[in-house]
Amino acid sequence: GNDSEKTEGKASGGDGDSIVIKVGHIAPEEHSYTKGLEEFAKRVEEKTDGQVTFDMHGNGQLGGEREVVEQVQLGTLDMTMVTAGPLTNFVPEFAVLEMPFLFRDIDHVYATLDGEVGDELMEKIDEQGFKTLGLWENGFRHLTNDKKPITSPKDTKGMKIRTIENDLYIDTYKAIGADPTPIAFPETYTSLQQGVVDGMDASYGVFHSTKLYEVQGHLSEVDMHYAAAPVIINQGVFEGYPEDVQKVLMETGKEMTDVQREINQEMEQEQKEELKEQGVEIVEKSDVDMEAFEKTLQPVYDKYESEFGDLVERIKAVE
Amino acid sequence: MDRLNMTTEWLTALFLAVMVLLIFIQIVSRLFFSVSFSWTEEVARYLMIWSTFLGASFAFKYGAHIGVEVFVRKMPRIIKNIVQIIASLASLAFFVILISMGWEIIGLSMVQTSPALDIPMGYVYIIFPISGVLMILNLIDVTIKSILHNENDVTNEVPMD
Amino acid sequence: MATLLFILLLVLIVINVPIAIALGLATIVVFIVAGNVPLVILPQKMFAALDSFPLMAAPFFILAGKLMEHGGISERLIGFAQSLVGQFKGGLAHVSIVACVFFAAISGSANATTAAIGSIMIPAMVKAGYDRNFATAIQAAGGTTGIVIPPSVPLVLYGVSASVSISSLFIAGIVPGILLGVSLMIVAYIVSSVKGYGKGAEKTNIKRIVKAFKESILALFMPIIILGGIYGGFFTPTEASVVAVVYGFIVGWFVYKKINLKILRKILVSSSVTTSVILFIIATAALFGMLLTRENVPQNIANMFLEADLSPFVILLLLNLFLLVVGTFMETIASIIILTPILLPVATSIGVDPTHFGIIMITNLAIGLITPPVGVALFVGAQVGNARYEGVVKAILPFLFMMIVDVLLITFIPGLTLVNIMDK
Ligand code: NA
Ligand code: NA
Repeated sequence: GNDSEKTEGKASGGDGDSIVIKVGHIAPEEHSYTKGLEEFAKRVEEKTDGQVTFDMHGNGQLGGEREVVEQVQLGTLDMTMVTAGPLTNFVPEFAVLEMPFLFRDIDHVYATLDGEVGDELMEKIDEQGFKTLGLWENGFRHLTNDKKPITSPKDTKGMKIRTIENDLYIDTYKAIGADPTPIAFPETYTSLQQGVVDGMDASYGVFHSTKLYEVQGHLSEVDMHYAAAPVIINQGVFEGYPEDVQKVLMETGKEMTDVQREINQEMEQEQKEELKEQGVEIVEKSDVDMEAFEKTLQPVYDKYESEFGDLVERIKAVE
Repeated sequence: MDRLNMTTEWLTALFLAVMVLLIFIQIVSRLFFSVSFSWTEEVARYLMIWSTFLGASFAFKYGAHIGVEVFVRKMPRIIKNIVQIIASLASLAFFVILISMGWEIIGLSMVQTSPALDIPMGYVYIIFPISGVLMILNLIDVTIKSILHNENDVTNEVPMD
Repeated sequence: MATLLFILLLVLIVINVPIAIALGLATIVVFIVAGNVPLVILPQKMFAALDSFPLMAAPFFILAGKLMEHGGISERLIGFAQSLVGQFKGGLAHVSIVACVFFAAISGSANATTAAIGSIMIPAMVKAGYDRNFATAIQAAGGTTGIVIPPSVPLVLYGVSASVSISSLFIAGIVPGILLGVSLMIVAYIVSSVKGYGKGAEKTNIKRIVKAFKESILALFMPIIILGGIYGGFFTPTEASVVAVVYGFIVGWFVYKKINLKILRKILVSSSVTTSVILFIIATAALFGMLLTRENVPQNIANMFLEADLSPFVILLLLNLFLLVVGTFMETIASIIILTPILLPVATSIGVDPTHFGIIMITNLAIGLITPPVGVALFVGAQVGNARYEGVVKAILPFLFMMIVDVLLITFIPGLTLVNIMDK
């Protein structure tokens, strides 16, 4: 998809012309996406002496996740920040990050994404008409439920778990003995409340900001999936900017990668404390039988590993 | 025209019935067999969208599209006819844009796949040019009939409501 | 930009361009004039707006309503209502309203309710000596409970636009819906007393009630399946709508034997016409709403209210007044889709709960159904009851007044909507 001829006129013009970048994302105000994007905007505005400004629309005002990526690709929106999930509809290789329990810990994640594999994934995104400014994050997604603390696959056996309509996810949940049930996000809260499903997977950020803790008494820090959050801008739009602006955007996107991740990690710690106060019982990773989980998931790796060439192997090998 | 609409009507009725069936299967298989499918909801959703755009075409025949008729009703016949032609031209313009942009989005979204079925979204978007043409045909048909017969609204055996 | 948008929209609507097309065309013209957004936004946004699972409850509840309407449910509900309230002064008037409330609990639409009960009750009332206009007005007013009492297509659409839980909205609608029903019965009682309608009706007894109950049990069971299924954790509201379809089909086809293949085809086609018209509006209204959002119009309106420094009481009154006026001229569903994103920020900014605001909005729009000049329920009633529109308009006035009192009660007593048994 390349529609640069349709969009490049928009931001053209020589130095000094003011540029407004329209950003749409789905996160609420109290989320690390919003904080990261606001800080990004502030820095870019400063560095360009106000030549570049941002018009932000959060909270899904301009559409859901799949939709905002589509809009950025078509050039009807300039920029967004989105979790890996919806992006895989555009960049299949990105689904490698959705492999369950792929990373040992957060340092393993950063070493991977800031290294060769990360660069390769960003190139793949850029091939689809985007320009990636950085791989920010939504953090690890953990298992939550309202029945019991989960420490091993024995606990997930027969549990009804909400998931998305994606075969890899469904197979993952089947492998750990659960009954996966695809439910649209808008219906998730009430489905958990009413008991249509018992649990789901969620990052601390989402679990906290959408008040899922009101209907989910348990959270196990299993680091099930890592949700990277690429910040992407329409390629045609990007290339229409003056070179110095392009440079500022790239630089700031990169330097903000560490900052946003730090913001997110800090917020997760705060959210964790608050959740405890709200009565959520949290199982630390050290209390989870990770080996047992990894063992049950071998069939999933056998089935999907080949889809990603040698990526899985290379990610596992990252020090 | 009538045969075309008849076919479209059958198709949308069928889509609606299949939607019911798919979601019902989803409920039964989950409640009684603890089995869930990744694709039932997506297929049902896309069928709903397809039947919406198809149904919007023969809705013209039934005079079912909601509009504000109070003002037009009070005009003398000649003026009313002129206004109606202008209104129909406006609708025509909309459909022409819908068709051409629908055509464009098909090309642009062949690289994007649907979340569950993994089919290129371009195939799903194909409904835009198809339904756009059907809507134009119905619009022209209804406009001509209503001006020739000077009817207030065209109402072919109003669908039961 | 916003000014151009609203002027274009107004002109297109006045010359009777269908609202769906008027919304889409006005928006796309503004995008063309602005010249900075690729026009593929048109199909993109229209598609994305409909690509929603919760939205699917709308076509399914419409289909379920039609299956119930043509499947022999209405007669049985009327029989049951008759056994309960037939003996009061203005007996048949009360029967109509109670039957409407029962039917409302299985139907998602006001028109279906008015048509289903009115087609049987209006002739019966005229025969018993009631004024035809009064009889018709009752059905029109009673029918409006159809969209306040769950299930309700407008509530589903509000829930989708406002990102509010549809199950909560359904619960929240129950008490206000019953309030409307009871207050309409009070008006009917007063008018009937003055005019001396329906004297000497048959006295009721338990035996008769039990018999009528047995006959209508399958119909009365439906709301239990829908709401019980949702709150019992068996399925989501969207899935409940499908269960309603299957249930309505089985009862109408196998039990009451009123539906055959020919009628089924007609029901399916007419449901898809109704659905398409509504969803087509939703699709283009989403594009319209997106332009407003991109131009920050809703926020500006909310800020305007806040800066005017009016008390929440006054703002709520103004919102009600605005909704009433809009409801008077505009169709319910189009109003919900267009106004929710604009008015909800205003309401939440003064601390109104989004679920509560949904019920306020729907009740106002329900009143709009019986307010001239564009009173859809009045048109349907007049058509079903073979009455003159102007005559019905006169007879509706006392009911209209009562419903305005009701909406104020619903607005200023949040407890009426938020007695949410599911809240922890
Ligand atoms: Na209802
Ligand atoms: Na009205």
